[in-house]
Amino acid sequence: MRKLRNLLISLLLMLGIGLYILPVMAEGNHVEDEAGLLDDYHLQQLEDYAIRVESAHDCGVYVRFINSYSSFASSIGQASEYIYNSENLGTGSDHNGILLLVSMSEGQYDLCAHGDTANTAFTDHAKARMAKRVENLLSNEDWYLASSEFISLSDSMLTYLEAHGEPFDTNNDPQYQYRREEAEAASRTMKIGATFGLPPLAGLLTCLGLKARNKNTGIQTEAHNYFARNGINFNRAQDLFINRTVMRTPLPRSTSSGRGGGTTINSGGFSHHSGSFRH
Amino acid sequence: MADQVTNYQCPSCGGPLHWDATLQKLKCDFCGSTFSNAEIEELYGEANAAAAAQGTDTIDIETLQWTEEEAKHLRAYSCPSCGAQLICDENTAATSCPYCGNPTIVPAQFTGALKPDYVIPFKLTKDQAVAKLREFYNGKPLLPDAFTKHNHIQEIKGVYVPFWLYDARVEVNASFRAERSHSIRQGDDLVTTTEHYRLLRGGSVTFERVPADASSKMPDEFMDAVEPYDYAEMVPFEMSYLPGYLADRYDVEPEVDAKRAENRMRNSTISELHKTVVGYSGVFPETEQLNIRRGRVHYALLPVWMLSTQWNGNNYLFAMNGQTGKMVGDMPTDNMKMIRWFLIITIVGIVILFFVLLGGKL
Repeated sequence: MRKLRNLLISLLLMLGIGLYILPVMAEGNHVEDEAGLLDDYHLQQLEDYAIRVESAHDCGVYVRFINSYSSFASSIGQASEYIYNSENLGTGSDHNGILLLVSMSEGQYDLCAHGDTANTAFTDHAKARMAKRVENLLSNEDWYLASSEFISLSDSMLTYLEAHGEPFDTNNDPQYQYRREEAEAASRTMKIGATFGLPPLAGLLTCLGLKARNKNTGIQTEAHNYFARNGINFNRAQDLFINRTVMRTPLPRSTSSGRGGGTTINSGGFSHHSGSFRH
Repeated sequence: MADQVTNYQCPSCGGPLHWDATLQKLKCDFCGSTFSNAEIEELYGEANAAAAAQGTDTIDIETLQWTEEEAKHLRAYSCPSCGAQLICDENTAATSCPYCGNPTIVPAQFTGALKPDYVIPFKLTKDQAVAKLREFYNGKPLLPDAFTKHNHIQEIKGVYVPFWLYDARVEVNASFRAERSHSIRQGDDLVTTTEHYRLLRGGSVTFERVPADASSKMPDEFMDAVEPYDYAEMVPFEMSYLPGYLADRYDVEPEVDAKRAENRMRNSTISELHKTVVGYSGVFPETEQLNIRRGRVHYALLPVWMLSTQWNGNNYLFAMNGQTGKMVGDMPTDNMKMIRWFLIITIVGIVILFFVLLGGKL
């Protein structure tokens, strides 16, 4: 009995230590808040949620709030890749995972996916849809809700891939299809407008040009014909340098599918969607 | 009164002399003899001086039907050839007798302070002016057909128009804000570096003989538009260039015209200064300070052919530079032709775009 009791106590202790240690380890891995935006309780909630999603899909889901990406790299996309690599994030041999990086000083965020599963599930369109919802919450400074929404959407995208055998993309997003039809209708309206609007405009301009030929009188406003020989003498020319400014603009991303779907993956195996949540 | 005007008559046969633009000499209408300006000036120098000494007389309103106000601006002379009375505007300096057709000069209008410094003699004849007008109608598809086919030149006259020619130096100091940008791709970002500068520019531009017409009778927009004249052919004024043409003395004071000329100089100075700012992707003027130092003002007579035509009850005026042949004018537009052009362009354009943009389907 004593042996059994000692064994049970040992098991309980090990379980207790394990339960205590596991979240601590996960805290450093899935959700981190360098900017101090989340309290411990919410941080723990998010951490647990991220672990559950990771376990369900074998794909890491990470959130990082940092003070400024400039401590890591020159752009938020590069900072995401740096953090992802340096912290050895992701699951499996190809480090599957998706990271939401939020940089407070610049008011920018980046969704960064890596690995076959993540890059398949998180297409450019999927990331754009996720970003739109997360961005709204970040703009409202709902840091917890934004993180929770990100994890939830990541779960949805991964679930969609598993359930349908294809990722959530432009070809199966009803909202996108509707918008595409709307855009096509708008484009057609514009073409009809151009077809019936531009020729009268061109006709009018041509007629005005031809009419102008019938009148070539007018008051002279220049005296270029009357410069004295060697009469132009500009002897003062100073170009004073004041300062230099640098502006960084994310390049528009190309898509891998002719229909506007797919995922654009860079040479490092990452795909991104960046944006600003302060407008 | 007979002494107030001069007829230039042929020393050989007594016929009227006129300036021949092709020969650049005075030619007799009757015997065809030609004379240089120097020869005629020598013959008529004294007569002109005597006529100028007589001045000009206002007309006697008792005998004519003008009001006192109208008469104040008119002058009466007797034609030395036929004795007919010539009634002219107070500024008329050269005209022709409406009865005998002899060219008549009023020397008093061009003596003393009123004497022009320079004249550019006519180089183009009346026939060339008419031919230029026909050429001028070409390439104007909205001109009414009837205007080109049936209109008649109502009047064509060679006029020596009085001009003030202004010399001046414009001093300028200006500052600009400028920037120079270049972009490079760094990872997924486009990095644009912009260098900001403040530019200081200064100096001066010297202008010579900027013209402004000094006759209130001549429309400024026509006289400005016939520019430029080639000043290389400008010669000191002599009255012997005038026979055969009309001429007025100035009636706009140089101070009045100076504003127009200085405005042109100012604009050209600024435009030249802007050309010195090169190598920047964006240039924005900040300050511009201009100071005009006036120089000499010259008085010159410049040649203009004035043509007028009538169409649909309206008069249309044309002016041609009597030296270079540059023709300017304000012509009517055929509204029906304009509508036709508009419809053709519109219909053809719609058909093309219907197939190109809409693939032939609505």
